[in-house]
Amino acid sequence: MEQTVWVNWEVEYRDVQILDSQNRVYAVFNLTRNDLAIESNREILKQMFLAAAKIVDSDKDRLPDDWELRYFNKLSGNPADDPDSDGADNFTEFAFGTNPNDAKSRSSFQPRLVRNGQQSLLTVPFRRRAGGGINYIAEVSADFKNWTRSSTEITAASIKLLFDGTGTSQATYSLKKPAEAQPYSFVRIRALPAVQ
Amino acid sequence: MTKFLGSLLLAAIVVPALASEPVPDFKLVDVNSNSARGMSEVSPRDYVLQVSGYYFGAAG
Repeated sequence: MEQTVWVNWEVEYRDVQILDSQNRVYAVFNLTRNDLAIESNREILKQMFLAAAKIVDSDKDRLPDDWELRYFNKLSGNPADDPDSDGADNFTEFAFGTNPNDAKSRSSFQPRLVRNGQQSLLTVPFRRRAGGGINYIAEVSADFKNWTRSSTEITAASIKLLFDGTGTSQATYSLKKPAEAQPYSFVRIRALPAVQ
Repeated sequence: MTKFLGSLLLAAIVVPALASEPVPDFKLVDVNSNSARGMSEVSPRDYVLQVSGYYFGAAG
């Protein structure tokens, strides 16, 4: 099987093959011809990965080309459109890692109480886009009208990359005060386009 | 000038630039027990919408 990959990928001994987000060969860097003991070669390899990871948004609609091509086969997606009529527009589907063409593909936003000794802490795990381009903001409210994002109330998100072909990661926020002493009853996660 | 030379050097090493088709898929066990996915099956398909790198250090 390993040898089949070498043939199918047309690999040379000591190649580093860099694939872009569509699994296409973006660049090949051979470590025999380009010794990584030389600092300039290490820098070139690093720059290759960074260039491959650069977010491309040709039509400047806040939806990366790779995401639009994967789900629409063209760059026609509009951030405000909702092709599967599930109430989540394309930007929301992109931000929270769901399929914009499948109404059954829903956000994994599932708050739960986690026991910590005698206390219970509210944690909020959810699926989000891996990488940059979006700012995620957790906010709490006592009345569903006034929201706060204070870091004294909410922990920074812990992030765990997922490897399921969706380009997403699992993020988890936790409220710092135990549920028994918690003045806030509501939690929300906002996804905003990062300033490009 | 330095930037120009750097671009030339990069162009000389990058082969080929952006193929149009995805590479043929495979599924193999990641035998590195220290990796995040150690001892589980790994496929390039798992990394769609992410950039990935593959080092071919020894045949079969």
